[in-house]
Amino acid sequence: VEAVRGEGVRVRPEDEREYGDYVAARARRLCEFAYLLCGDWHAAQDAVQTALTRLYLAWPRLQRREAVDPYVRQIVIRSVVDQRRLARFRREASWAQPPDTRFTADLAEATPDRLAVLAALAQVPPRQRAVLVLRYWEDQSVDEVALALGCSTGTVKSQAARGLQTLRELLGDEVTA
Amino acid sequence: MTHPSEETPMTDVRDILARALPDAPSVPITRETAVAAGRLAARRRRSLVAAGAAGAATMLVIAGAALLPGGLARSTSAAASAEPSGPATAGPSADPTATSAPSAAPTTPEPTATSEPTPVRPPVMRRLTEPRAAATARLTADLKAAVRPVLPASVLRPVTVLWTSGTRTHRPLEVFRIEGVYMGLAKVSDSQGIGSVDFHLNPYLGENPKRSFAGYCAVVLPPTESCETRIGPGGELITIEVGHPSTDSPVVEYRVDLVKADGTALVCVARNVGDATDPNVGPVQRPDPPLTVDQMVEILLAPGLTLYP
Repeated sequence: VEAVRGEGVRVRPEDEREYGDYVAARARRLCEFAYLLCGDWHAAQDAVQTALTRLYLAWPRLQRREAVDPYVRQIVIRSVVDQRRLARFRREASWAQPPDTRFTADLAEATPDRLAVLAALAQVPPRQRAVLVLRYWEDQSVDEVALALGCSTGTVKSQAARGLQTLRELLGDEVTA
Repeated sequence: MTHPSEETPMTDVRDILARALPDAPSVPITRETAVAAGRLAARRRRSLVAAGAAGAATMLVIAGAALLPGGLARSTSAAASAEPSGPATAGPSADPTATSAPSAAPTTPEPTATSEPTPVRPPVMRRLTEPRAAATARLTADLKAAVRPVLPASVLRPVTVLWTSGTRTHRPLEVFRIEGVYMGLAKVSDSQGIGSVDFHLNPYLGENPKRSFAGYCAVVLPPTESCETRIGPGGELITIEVGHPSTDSPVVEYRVDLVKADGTALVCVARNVGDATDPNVGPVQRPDPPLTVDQMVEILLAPGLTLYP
C-alpha cells in the first residue's frame, strides 16, 4: 500500500509557494472571468475554486507555466457552461419564485446600467458568451479561443458575430464594430 | 445596422463587460484557502489510491459493500484510478475509456469482477430522427414502465414549474421536450413524506466535465459529499453523486448521470423535498430522497430510455 501511496499527489513546498503566488495574483481576475460567463458571483467563485483545486493537483506535472492560465480558464468554462446547461434540470428557476436569493442580493445594489448589461448578456447563449468573454475580456486570439473551446476558428468567428449581434440588438449603438 | 465583424476587436465590448461586474465584490479565495483545499484533495487522492491498492490485493471480490442510509454504495476504487490531465499533458478532459473498475455493490446491476464490462465511448451529438410527438409518447410509456415497479407504493403527483416562458404543470412522468431536452418530472409521496424525481434525456451534455469520466470523482468538493463512477453492463458511463443543491442547503440530492453506448445522456435527480417554494433550500419533507441511487441507475438503464430507438 505504501508503494502505491507514493503515486498520489505530493506537492513540494517550492511548488506550493509558486502555486500560492499564482492564486494570490489571479484569483480575483479568474472570478471576474467566471462571473462574466455565468452572471452569478457565488457560482463563479465555486467554479474558480474547483479549477484551482484541480490546478493544485496538476501543479507538480506542469512543465510550462504559461499554460496555466489557459488550463484554469478551460476548467472554469467547462464548469460554468455545463452548470448553465444543466441549470434547467436543477430547477433553479422552478416552482413559484426564482429561488436564488444570493443572485438577487447581488443585484439589489446594481445600477440600472449594470442591470441592463447583465440582462443583455443573459440573452447571449453560453457558448457565444464564452467566446465574447475570452475574445474581448481576456484578449485571446481567435486561435486561442478555438483551442479553449475545442472548436474551429470559423466557429469562434461566427459565434462571436452572433453574440455581438445579440448585444447590439439589446444595447443599441454603443456596441460598435 | 452593420453586422459586427469578429475580426475587429472592440474596446467598447470590453467596457460593456466591465460594466457587468459587481463593484469590488469580496473574493474569499486566497492563497491559504486554495492551498488548504488542494492539500485536502491531495490527501483524499492518496487515501483513495491506497484504498484501491488494498482492494486490488484482495482480488476485488468485496461483496456487501457498505450502503449509506440513502442507498449509495460508496466506491473508493473508482475515483482513485485517474489523475486529472494537466496542461502539459492532455488537457482537462481525460480519455473516457481509461476509467475505473466498477464498484461491487449487492443491489447494483453491474456485473462482478469476474465479468468486468468494457466502457463504451459513445458517439457525440447524434442527430435525432424520431418526431417529437412520437418520442414523447414512447418515452413517457417507457419511463412510467421503468419507474412504477421501483415505486409500487408511492403516489406520483404533478409538478408545476416556472419556466422562462411561463408556468406549466406537468403530469407525473409525462415526458416533454424543452430546448432539445426531453424531461419527465414527478413529486413522489409515500409513507416517508414527499420528495421529487426528475429525469432528463439529452443527445449531448455539452462541455460536460463528465466526459472526462475517468477523473470525474478525483476531486469532490462541497456541496457534493460523495462521488462514484461505475461502468454499466452495456458499457454505460455512470456517475453517481450524493450531496446538496448548494453548500448551505439542508436538502439531500442524489444525482445519477448515465451515458449510454448509443450516445443518449440521461440524468436523474432525486431530492427529499417536493412541495417547497424553493427546492434548493427546503424545508425537507422526508429523511432521504424517494429513490436510492441504485434504483436510479436501474431506471436509467431501462433499454427503452434512449433517444435513438
